[in-house]
Amino acid sequence: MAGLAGAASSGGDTFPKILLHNADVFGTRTAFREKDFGIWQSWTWSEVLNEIRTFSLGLADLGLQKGDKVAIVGSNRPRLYWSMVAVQALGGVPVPVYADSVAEEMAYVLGHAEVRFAVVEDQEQVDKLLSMKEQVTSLEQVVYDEARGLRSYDHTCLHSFETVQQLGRKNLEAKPDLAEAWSEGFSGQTGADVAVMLYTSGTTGRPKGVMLSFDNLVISARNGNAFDNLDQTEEVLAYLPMAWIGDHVFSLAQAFTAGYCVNCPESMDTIDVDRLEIAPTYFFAPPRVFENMLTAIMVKMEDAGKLKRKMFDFFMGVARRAGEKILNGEQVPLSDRLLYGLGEFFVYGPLKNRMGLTRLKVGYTAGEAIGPEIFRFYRSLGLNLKQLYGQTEASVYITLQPDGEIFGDTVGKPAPDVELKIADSGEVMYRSPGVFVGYFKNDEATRSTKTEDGWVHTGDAGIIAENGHLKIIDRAKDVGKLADGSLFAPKYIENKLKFFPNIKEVVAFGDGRDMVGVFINIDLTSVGSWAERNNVNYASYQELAAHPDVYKMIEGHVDQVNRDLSGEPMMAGAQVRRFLVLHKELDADDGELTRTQKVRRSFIAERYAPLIEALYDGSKGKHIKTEVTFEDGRIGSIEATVEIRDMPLYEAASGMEEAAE
Amino acid sequence: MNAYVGAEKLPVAGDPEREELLRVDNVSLSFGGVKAITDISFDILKGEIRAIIGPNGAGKTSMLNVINGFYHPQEGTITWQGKVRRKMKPYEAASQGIARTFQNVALFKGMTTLDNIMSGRSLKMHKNFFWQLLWRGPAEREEIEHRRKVEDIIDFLEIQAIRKTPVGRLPYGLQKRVELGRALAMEPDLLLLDEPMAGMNLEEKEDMSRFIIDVNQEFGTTIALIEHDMGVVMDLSDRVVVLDYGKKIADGPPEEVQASQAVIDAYLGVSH
Repeated sequence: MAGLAGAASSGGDTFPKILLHNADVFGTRTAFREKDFGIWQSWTWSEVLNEIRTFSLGLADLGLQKGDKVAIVGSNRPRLYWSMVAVQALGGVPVPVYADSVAEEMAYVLGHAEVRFAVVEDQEQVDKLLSMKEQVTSLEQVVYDEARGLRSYDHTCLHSFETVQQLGRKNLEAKPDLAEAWSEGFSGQTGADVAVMLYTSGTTGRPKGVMLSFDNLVISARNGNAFDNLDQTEEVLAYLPMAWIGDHVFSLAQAFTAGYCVNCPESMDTIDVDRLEIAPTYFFAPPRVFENMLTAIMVKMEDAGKLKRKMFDFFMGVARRAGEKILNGEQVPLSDRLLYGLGEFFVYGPLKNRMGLTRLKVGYTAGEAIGPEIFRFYRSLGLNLKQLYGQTEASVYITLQPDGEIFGDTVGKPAPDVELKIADSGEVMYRSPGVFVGYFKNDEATRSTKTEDGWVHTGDAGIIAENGHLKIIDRAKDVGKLADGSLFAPKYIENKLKFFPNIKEVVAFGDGRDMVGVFINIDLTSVGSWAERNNVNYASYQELAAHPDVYKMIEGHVDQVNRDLSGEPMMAGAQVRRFLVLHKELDADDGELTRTQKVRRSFIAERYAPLIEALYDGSKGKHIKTEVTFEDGRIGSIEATVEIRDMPLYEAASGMEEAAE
Repeated sequence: MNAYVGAEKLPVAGDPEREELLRVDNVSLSFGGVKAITDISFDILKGEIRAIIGPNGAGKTSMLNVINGFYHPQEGTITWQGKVRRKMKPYEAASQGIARTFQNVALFKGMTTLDNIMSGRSLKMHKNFFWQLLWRGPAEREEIEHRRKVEDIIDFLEIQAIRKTPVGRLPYGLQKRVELGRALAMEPDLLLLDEPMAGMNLEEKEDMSRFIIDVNQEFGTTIALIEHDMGVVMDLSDRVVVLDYGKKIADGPPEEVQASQAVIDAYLGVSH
């Protein structure tokens, strides 16, 4: 494994060792911040060492032993991050769990991981754990951070974070050489030991426990730091689920290896304000966050005064023309450069400040494709926003966009130390120091994912473009073929359509059929505001969705997508022949979306079978009755006649073709 | 409602360890010819949640107004913390340690959540006009101290996100929560809640119930509440007083009251 020697040489090869190193080197630098009681409370690296050590010793006193699994449940709190390292110091393995997962799912994960201890945020999580005592028989002790509401609980197996720390402190006072013994205890750990177990939110079947070693995380994190020149001066905002590999790497692995500061927001509702106050220098967000920020800005601009609006429009024009080029270090006419400077003062600067991105050094987005318009907007403001492609099994990094080589439709070049290849089936495969150890108690799945010589199947279909950048098309298992043999990648088509603000969700069908047909969900906010401006009256989503003008608008979007597709040799055969606008919004409550808002294609195919039939039998419309679940759990139904439209197709462009914008 | 899982209540009624916080003896109140309250007696023990229920016009709100000293009854006595209460001026009533929320939200709409809750601390600010004017020094220190207390409450009620939002822009459920926050800022011995859940949806009700239980358990605050939602009353309260036409018709633990024929008649309506 390349880079291993480097990892061991500076600061240690496990997080507890790195912690000792950081307390030594960065002793007085701020390591963690949390906004509490309206103020940013902070801890330096040496204070963090102290907190982790006392907690760790307390856990040892409670009986935590080498190899024990410890569930970590809750939102991003410094104490929960510390717990992970405290557990690692004793040779235990932390298992962060999605705090908002339903009890049944959580019970499965905790039972499968055989957790003995759990460190949780508050009463809500304690209640959840207590309710699953019967399924999770291995669970013995629960530690909570927030005492509120727990006063009258039976405290024989329940402890507050403070009391555990007090236990550790008391032992430390009684035996001063305990601190020494504690460090001694983990000095023998090596990079090959399992550091953490993260459960992937399997869209198919049960979640799988991905075991990552210290080497996986430490080397990947160091490579990531080196790639973007991250050092101890960075500030990040920890707000994404702790059970997700991205957060684990950005807020723990990279923070420890680089020594930078992790900021925990006050609550999930205050993130916008907290980000503004912290102004992170390194920021990660799924596309959805960037979309929402942009929408908020645009809505506010609509309400702004005439002068401001004019100024905004003018300078955004300049930014579109010159911003990205300046960011990429390309040649730009002097006049544009001067105007851009002015724009920075009048518009871009204040805008970035509003979003809390003033100090941004590098930002990443991943998880899903981001709309090119949105991506370009941020980049034109001079924000170094890039895309990456990663996986839990890879300790995040597979490909990254290097500075100056940003293409909207690709996810970048292989990250440092990562080898990449495309299998004959079209599936993307990689090999890297970050490749996981295996799935916990699931050798069969490990064997089918990881080959003997260390290559991992990503499950995604992709192509490597001429410039060496990877382009992801779809999930490998979703990619199919039309009856005439042309490639059909539903996600690819769906994403192209979803980039239009008026379209919220799309489901494309076509595998094994003679043409592509799609269901479309309009975006109520966006189309609703269009309706308001154009005096279109409507009483409900259903009515708006069926409005002829809306259909006309969507038709225009589909047409545009077909034109784009015709320009791509591989995709030209899969243009959209027929579409319909669904009469109801796809909803997770009805099981049509996953809780992470991803479309459940097969479920929808079953539920709307009559509509699919109508898509393919050439009829102009179809009456359908659908059962819906309301927010309070009542069940009702809605009926509608859904119109189906035919679309003209474009001739596939032959030979060399510029990439569609 | 599983919002209260684990919130096992300790028995209160007849618990000799609990001392009496407030005692109402044979109180009658009338406005001209209208008799709002007739000869009512009950007590509120320290640390309990006491519900006052009854059909519309039964005299519940009048009873609260008598308890907090806004009305002075024509007959009967009120014993507050062991002392029989005389007729008070409004500011005396306010400083005796009883806080309340109102049936319809009574906040300063143009002020932020933070300022509204801070206003609940005003009785506890002691620096005089001169120091306030000078601001730097003692007055500033005092304000910081109060702000800390208020932040505690904001944290407790989980309203960090609306700290700087003018309350007039908040949805009703949140306004109610801010109002509770302001009452808590007074650090009252007795908290009177006048229909804390009126007009709320199920989720807001569950939240509010949890806050009420938490206030009671974490701060040990004694609570007297008027509420129409019987589910809430039965779940929350230790003891219930039932009024009808200004008269007390039942008093006791929720199960007992629920089974009482007089109460059933009062709610379903029988001819008098």
